[in-house]
Amino acid sequence: MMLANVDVQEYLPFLIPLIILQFVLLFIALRHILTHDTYKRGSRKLWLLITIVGMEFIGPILYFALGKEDE
Amino acid sequence: MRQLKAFIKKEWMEQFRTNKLLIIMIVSVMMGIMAPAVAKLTPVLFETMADTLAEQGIAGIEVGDVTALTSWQQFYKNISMLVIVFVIMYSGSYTTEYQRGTLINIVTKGMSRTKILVSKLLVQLVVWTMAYVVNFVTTYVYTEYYWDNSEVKNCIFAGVMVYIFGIWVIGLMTLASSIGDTNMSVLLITGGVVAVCYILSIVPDVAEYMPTKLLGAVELLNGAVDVETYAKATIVVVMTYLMTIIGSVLCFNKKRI
Repeated sequence: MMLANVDVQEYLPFLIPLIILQFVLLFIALRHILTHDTYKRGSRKLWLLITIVGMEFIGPILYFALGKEDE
Repeated sequence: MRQLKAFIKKEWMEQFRTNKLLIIMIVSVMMGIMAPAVAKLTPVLFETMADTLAEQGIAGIEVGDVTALTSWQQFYKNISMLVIVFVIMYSGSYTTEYQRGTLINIVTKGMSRTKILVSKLLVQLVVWTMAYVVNFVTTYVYTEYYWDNSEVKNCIFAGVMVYIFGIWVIGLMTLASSIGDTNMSVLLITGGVVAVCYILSIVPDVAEYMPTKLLGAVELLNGAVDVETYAKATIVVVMTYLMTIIGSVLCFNKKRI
């Protein structure tokens, strides 16, 4: 499957905000993991792995839904 | 009044300190972008996959013209996700306070329970309004940029219908929180009621009165359905919303916290 004939320029208005949002979410999740010692379930290594591997939104969202302790 | 203001301030600060507001805003912007993006990309995807599909014997899939309507249809497909994310995030709003006993001090100092409920409800309504407006406006702006919103009928009205459904769900969640003790029970009660509404909607005569009808507001967009058909469901939503709020005040006043 090639997307060679797709004009990237046309999709930039979609891509730029999505990429920015993705990194903002990743940054918040990583900061939260590193500044907390206990989690609802799992360990720091597990959550770092999940957040970085699934950095396209799904990792940080999983962390905030399942791993973050209620404050 | 001073107590109410202070508690609203406490709730509002909580939205920032726990990153809840930020996360729901990011999710709603993301979903607002996704709707037009998917509409824009679908024909391209079919084009590039045409050979693969033909090999598998799937042929003749016609992708109609992509218009503003396609983008809005995607928006209404995704919007129930925003409601679900919201419910999951706020299902613990009361129950974590029950479990950690943080309301006991406040109540014994003379704060009325109704004020606690009202301030939590207000903050949740404000957050829902912000999230929904951001989601709607993002899709609106992109659709205006790539296509033309004027060919979509009842655009704002359909949006308001889904917004009202969200408010109804918040009322339901408040009632569930004043009955249940754990996060899970709140999710189960809220989800259960919505599921029952969906099941009852199988009967066409009943479906007109069900709050879940408001989620299907997408049918308004091409002008096939009249706006008036939503009147019954809207009245039911407003009545049941008032009932859930009154019910939750009564239950919350008797609740052991």
